[in-house]
Amino acid sequence: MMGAPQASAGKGVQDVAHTLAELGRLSAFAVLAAGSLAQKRAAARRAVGYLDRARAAFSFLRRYGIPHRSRIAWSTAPEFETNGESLDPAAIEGYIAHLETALGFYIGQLHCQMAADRLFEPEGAFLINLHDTLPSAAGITLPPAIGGASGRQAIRKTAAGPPSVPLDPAFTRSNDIALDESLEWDGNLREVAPRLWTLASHEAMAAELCALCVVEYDGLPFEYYDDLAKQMWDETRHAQFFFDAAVELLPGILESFDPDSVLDCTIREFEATGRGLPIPQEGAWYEAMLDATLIQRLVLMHHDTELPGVRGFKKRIRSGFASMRPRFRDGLKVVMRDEATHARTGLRWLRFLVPDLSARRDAIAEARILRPVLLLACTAKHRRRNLAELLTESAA
Amino acid sequence: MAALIQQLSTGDTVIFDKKKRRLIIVDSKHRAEWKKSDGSLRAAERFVKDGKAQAFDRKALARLQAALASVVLLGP
Repeated sequence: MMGAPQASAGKGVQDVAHTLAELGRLSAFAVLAAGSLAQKRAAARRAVGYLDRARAAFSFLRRYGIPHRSRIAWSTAPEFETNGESLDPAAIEGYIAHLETALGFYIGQLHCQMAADRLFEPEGAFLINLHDTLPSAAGITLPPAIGGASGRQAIRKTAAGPPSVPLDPAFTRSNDIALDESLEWDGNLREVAPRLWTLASHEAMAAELCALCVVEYDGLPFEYYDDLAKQMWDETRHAQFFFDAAVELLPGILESFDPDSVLDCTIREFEATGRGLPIPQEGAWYEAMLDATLIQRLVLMHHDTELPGVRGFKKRIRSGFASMRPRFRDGLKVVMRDEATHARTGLRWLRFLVPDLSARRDAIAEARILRPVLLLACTAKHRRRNLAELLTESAA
Repeated sequence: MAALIQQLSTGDTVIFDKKKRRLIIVDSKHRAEWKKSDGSLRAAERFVKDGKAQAFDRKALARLQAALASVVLLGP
């Protein structure tokens, strides 16, 4: 890492690319810290914004034949403090603001260096456009470290996601909710609405899984972080879409309010306070994915879940429930389109990490064997049970 | 590697014997002792014999997979 005045033009653009990638990864930490679906979506959108600019910088480097590092690594692996078990969003925001301002300062310095030399006109023009997207660097007195880690980077876990993630205030962990996964969406609103808000919580977890993949592992090509961040943003939008769809159904349920129904009372409480929609104690299995390795995540979520999920969405698009609600049906089509890209993302990076077909088959088989252990570890945590006992009971 | 060793957020450790398709759980109470004894698959096998760890054979793992197959991570 070096300060701006000493950097050469090509090295400067490379430093900028890596710092933008780092800002994208920090924003993925912000997704894990966010306390609501809306905050997750905003953080994910910001991550993609940084990575879009990083992609432009890497593209510039390739176009002009400038040698550069394309593997991504933290300059210093961040260790954010937790509030209990969750991340403190303020600490992450402070870190991002500092680095973003420093990057603006660095780019400004680079641009000044290059302005006098027409040979570096392309670099100068590229950087000044980037500079305009960053906050003012007024007040910066020293050029902070910019440019990501140097040297050859191995693929390895260098950071850790938080032990848990905050639940959107709309949701409450409950023992009362039992979802029938085989339920058709032609059923009544009292059956569909809980499925939709639970699906929203699962989509949020899928975004958290992508965030874990982005923040925890160093040494992969830029495109890996770019793909996973794109998926992260998609999943946060899907979460909001399904949540809004569920909430739209609630007044219809309350039209025939049943005072003896736990669900109806819960919904009435939610309509009054914005809180209390029940989801299972395990939430959406975040801890199961936290405990999984990168390869296991790609197998269990992308290979085994996203791929069949596309078929599930096709079925739901044809359901009576969706056909009566054209706007919802059109939204499902967008979700399905996105999910198909996620399945491809998973396969792409699983093949990258385990190129040999036979080894990949073994990795898939192993992940499937470990799946119940990961799930029950999550149950053990939330229901305060012993994992070995849960495994014994489930295997009986 | 003959074994996959994975630490869980519950404090338990999972050791998967790839050859025998057998899984061992060393719980958080015995983790330090197992790590001290060299933290290997062989040490975990000894812990199973001593009743300090629990093993799940191929058949039990198949039953576990079937029991939890209906859990949906994502999807409509």
